[in-house]
Amino acid sequence: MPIILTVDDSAAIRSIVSKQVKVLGFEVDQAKDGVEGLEKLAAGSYDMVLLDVTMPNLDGPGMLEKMRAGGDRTPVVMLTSESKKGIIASVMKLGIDDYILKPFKPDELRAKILKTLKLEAAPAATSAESPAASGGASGGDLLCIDDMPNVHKKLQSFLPDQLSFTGATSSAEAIQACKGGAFKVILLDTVIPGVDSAVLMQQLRALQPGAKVVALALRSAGESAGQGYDGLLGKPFNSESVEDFMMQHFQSQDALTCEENRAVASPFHGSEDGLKRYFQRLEQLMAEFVGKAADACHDEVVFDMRAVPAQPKEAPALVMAIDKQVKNFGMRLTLVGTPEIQGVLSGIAETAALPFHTSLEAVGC
Amino acid sequence: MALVEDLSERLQGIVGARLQSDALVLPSLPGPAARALEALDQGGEPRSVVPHLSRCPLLAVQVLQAAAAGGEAPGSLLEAVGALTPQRLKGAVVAACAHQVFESRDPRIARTSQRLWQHSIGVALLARDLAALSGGSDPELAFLAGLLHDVGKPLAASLLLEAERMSQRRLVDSDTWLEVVRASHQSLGLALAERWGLPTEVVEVIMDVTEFDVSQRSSPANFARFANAAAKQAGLYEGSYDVEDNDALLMIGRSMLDIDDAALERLCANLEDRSSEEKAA
Repeated sequence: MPIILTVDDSAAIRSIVSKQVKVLGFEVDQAKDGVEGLEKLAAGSYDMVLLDVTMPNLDGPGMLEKMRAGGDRTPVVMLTSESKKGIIASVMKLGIDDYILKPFKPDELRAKILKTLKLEAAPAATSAESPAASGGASGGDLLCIDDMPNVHKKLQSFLPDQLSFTGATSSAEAIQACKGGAFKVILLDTVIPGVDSAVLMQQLRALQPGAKVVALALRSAGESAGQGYDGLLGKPFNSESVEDFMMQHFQSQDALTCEENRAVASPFHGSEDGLKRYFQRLEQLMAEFVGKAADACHDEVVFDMRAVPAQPKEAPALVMAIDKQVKNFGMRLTLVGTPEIQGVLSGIAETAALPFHTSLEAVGC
Repeated sequence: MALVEDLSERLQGIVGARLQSDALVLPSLPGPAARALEALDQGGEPRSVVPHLSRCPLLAVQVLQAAAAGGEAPGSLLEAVGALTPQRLKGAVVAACAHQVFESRDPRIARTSQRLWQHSIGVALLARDLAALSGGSDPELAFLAGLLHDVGKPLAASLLLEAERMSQRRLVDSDTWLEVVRASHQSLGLALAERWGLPTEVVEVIMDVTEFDVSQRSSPANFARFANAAAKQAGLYEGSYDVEDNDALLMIGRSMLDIDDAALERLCANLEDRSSEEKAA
């Protein structure tokens, strides 16, 4: 267990620091000035020192100088109200690992102790002052930034229930949400009064390097409104345009889950208008998957279509297209589905003869 | 070094004497800009500045560009003004005027001034982003403080050039020349800030860009100071600087302003490109 020495002439600071160090599960020892600090270091072994600058008898820089002159390389983090660059530059020359300006937040102290000791940071949820714990967002699928609440309301009405949605009506709310956790997609209104959306986009990208930032702009603004963004959703949007947006930014990863020679279709969420695009997307993703299965020398491809709607035209057409591709590679297709799907497929000669099961266990998966 | 100190002292002496006798020639705010800023300072409706802006194509273009940067291009100056906050509108007007200060026809100054202007833009962009991400400071004021922190430098360069012309010889080489400018620009920047009625936060940064004001931790001025140090480290600077002092400033600033290291790294990674784009615009 790491042992930390806190050297500060203020008993209150030593007490606060000790409490925080103990919260981390580490041991802590105290010294009231540089002289006592050096004595403690000579008598025992410490993993790091939290060191004040201004102290009686021997100040922080003096103690640090003696430590380094004596060959003591114990990591040191300055914890001080001193902010003159000349003084900090001089202790940096002697070798310090980090710096904390008083008054400090417990989060900063914890983070810098863990960084100095090269230990993993505790999960954000355990931090009492993390944005998530203080009522802020904690990331998710979609962050929508628009100053008009009706836009959020309408957009949500077109989104599937399982997609997590966070709304922000100002740049400050958006930044706070982005500090709280990672989002997959950020939808940003290009015209928010008093906000330069291009500047906000840069700032959000700095906080969320993994997120796609999609412009939300009036259709009349044209395609150019999406320049510099990862996509464009025109306003006013409808169920069809939102489904296109979903297909492009979410369902390309989520419509199909693949493992070895098995592909599982995700359920369809949305209006009837989007069904056609759902089947088209599945066909496209299955074509890619079949190619990979052939590349891996599988003899059989299992398509789990239990979540696929039993559409009398679209479902058989999808299966026929997949079967054709599978046969082209000299493999065979096995289907897993609901009795409703089976009913639809059994009415068509090309699909009626295909092996069909109602559970993955029956296929041997 | 003695030469730099000597010339800096002489230059500051000239500035001091001219200031005292009210003989220092400083760029004035263009009339329309002064009137627009006055209207905004008096709490007037943003639309009240449109007639002033429309009298100066340079200002009008700057305001239209600032409004268009947000997304859709405004259809008119009135629309552009309506899309900007008063703070941002003031920033756009002052930025247009400051840009003029960094323009020079003299080949010896022109390149350096342009590089200084690009550094200033980079500091302004970074200060605004960091202030916005902190949530506890005014990003537009941080932008303005960053943009104008070196505004005295092109003025000092012009004065030095004037001194060379008077003595009819080249006083220093290029490197020393920059050092003299660096050591003597402050009083000129402050005089200009006073003449233009720039905000206190800008004056504070011109006065001292190399030490934080610990009494106002998250002030726009402190964000500009931090951004200045970070821009130097990112290579966006003209001239030499003390690397150890700069590193210390960055270490102090990280804690003082609660800087997100990963976000800072990403913002600095394309700072040169962003400032070039902004400068070209």
